[in-house]
Amino acid sequence: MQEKCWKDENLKFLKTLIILLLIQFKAYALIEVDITRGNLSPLPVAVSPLASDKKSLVEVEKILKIKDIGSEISLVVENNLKQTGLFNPLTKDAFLQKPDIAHFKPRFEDWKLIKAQALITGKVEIINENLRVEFRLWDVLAAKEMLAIAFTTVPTNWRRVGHIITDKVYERLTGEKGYFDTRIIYVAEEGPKTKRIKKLAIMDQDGFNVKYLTLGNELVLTPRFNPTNQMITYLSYFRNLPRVYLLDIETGIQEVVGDFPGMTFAPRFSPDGKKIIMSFASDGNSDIYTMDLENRIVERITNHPSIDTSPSYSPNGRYICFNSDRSGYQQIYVMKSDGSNVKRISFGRGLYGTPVWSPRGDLIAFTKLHKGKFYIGVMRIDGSGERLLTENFYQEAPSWSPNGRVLVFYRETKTDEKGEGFSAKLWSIDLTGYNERQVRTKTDASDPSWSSLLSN
Amino acid sequence: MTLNKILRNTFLVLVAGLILTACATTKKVETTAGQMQGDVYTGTDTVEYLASGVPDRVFFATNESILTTRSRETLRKQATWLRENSEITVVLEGHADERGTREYNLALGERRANAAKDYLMTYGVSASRISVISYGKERPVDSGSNPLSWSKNRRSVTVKAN
Amino acid sequence: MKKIEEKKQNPEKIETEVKQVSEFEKKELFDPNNIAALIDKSKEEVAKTIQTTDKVTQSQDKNVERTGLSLSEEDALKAQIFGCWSIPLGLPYKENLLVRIKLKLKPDGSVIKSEILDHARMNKPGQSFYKVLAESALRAIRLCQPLRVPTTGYERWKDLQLNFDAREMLEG
Repeated sequence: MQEKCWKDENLKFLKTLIILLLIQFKAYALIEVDITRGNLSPLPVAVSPLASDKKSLVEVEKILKIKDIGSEISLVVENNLKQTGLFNPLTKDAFLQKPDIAHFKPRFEDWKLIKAQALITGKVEIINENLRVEFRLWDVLAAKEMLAIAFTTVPTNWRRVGHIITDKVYERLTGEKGYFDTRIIYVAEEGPKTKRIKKLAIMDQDGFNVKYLTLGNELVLTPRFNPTNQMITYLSYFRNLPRVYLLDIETGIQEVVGDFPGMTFAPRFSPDGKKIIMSFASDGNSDIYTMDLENRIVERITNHPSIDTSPSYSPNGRYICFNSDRSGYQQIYVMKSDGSNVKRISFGRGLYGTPVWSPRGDLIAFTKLHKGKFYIGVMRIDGSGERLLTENFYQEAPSWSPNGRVLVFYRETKTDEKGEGFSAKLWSIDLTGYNERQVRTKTDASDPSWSSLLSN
Repeated sequence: MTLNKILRNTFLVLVAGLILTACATTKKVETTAGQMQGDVYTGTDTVEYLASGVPDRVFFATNESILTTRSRETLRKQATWLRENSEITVVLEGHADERGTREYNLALGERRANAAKDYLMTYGVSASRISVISYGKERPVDSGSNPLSWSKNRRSVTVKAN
Repeated sequence: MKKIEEKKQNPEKIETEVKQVSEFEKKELFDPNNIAALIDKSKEEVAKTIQTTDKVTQSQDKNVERTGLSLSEEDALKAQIFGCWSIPLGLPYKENLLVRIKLKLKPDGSVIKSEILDHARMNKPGQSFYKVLAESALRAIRLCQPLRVPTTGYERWKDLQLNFDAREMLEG
């Protein structure tokens, strides 16, 4: 009895102690607040014109006929950032600090006042006839430098310098590689639909520095970049023999790929750039072949009485996606790179074509045709998670930006009864389905292919 | 009585509907009747002649390369003409409409031209006299974006090569 | 073989000299041992909040218990920071990106010190998205300060932890 009583007492005391301890603990518990919302508007960035000294300005004007090279380079950067939809470059009218002083030591309070969160400053000079550009990226709110890099190059490369700056800034602020120091190869088009003239053309990703690579004497289609060098592969109707060609854009030399007794088409490089994969059509049947560019060995990959075309390798080179009508209609399939284990992956309603494997490896972009509309979409490599990004009367042939975030494709408008109103333009859209924009081209354009980053 | 009223109204609506449908049909007849069967072009707008009474082209249904009865008739005439003129060689140009992806349509055009080639061969034309080229959707005859234009563009055209 | 008039396409090499890479994160180093216990505790709680974010009333009740800030106090603070935080738009929403920042505050709500709890992750290769998110969270705090804190009970909230989680926003 006695003992039990004591125990009770003891227990009571313990209980009180525990409660007291709990209260104590609660009082000192760290307060946590979950921040699950923020604003999704593009990040306000100030791109200060790059500063330069008088002597350099005079020299640059002599070489490039450009009055204020610093402003021009900053415009390249500003435009690139704006196009991403992720950044909001602020108007220069509001800037309170002079470019040269801003670059030396920004007055962060001033930049904060105009609501900039990041600031880009820089300096351009001519040293031994070379262009030397340095830039800094500043975190305005932390009052700290985030990045500082300098480049030296020939003056004519000034736009590329702007693109490289954007790549560095983009990578530092988003955590992924940029896609600005890149080019797009495409088909420039003109003339009526029934007698369309098509030329190979190449331009910077932002539409500048357009160069035509063929004269338009023969029909050319579907140019694609080698991911590792300056080669392209495309289909040419030279001498009315539609064949896959290889073109070195440095030397201008081109050659037919392989020695096929019929039409070869739908070419693409392997990720290591050493093979071309394409279709060969013979007696009404198209199958997929590869040719090794070093030893010229041709291999047949598919052997099926259906149309197998538009092949594209996975980034590790181990798989190939393509489209085939072996089920009766055009659908997307994946197989091992030796042609084994063919598996259909598209099961949605409609027809699926032009599959292209993302450089990140996890997605396949495609064109879908359903009830008279064309869609650009993406799906996982097993066919699940289909997302349609954009719908239109006619559009096709997506090509990935090297970082796998943006798709460029082309879109045609409908012709009226008189055959008018037709035009073909390049467009880009984010993987998220937002930020759809027309890519600027002088002429009508189709079949875009995005290069890898030219510099790393 | 109410029922009667409803019935009468329904009847009126029905009659109106019939008249409207009739109108619609008549209108359609004006534009495409005699020019399309199913979605295969049967008109003569774009057809040229290799020789008197020998049409140069055959038409296909969407996504198809099967020869229709009419196409086979045309090809038999071509075969006869080719047998009679043994020095002539031809190119069969296969085409598709704009409603498909470019690369697939190249393959489809090739398949259509080969369907025509095979038929000519079964009617005694030597394979060595026939070559095949596909233009996919690159060379439409009709630039319109409507079913009739598309039906004219889904074709295989026999062209004299010499 | 055909010749093409276009020749030199490959641009001149551009020489890069890296002058200086950011010192941003190095200055924010802290002693990880100090807060080891806190990390474990907050992990559990975070998991719980994520599940209940949709059910407002329920989670708010819990918050009162857990955080020691009243409903309206917490709402005021949240609303303020929501307005300051520019979520980096390019982030992949599927990755586990939660940034926890511990703050030491003055009575007026200005920030004496801010520590990122998983700071080591900032400089690991392959964690660039985490770093980007962490930097954006730090910017939000700087933009917002002085924070909208209660007028009383400084002892209660002088240490405050903010958990930045952008998944909900990036998915939507």
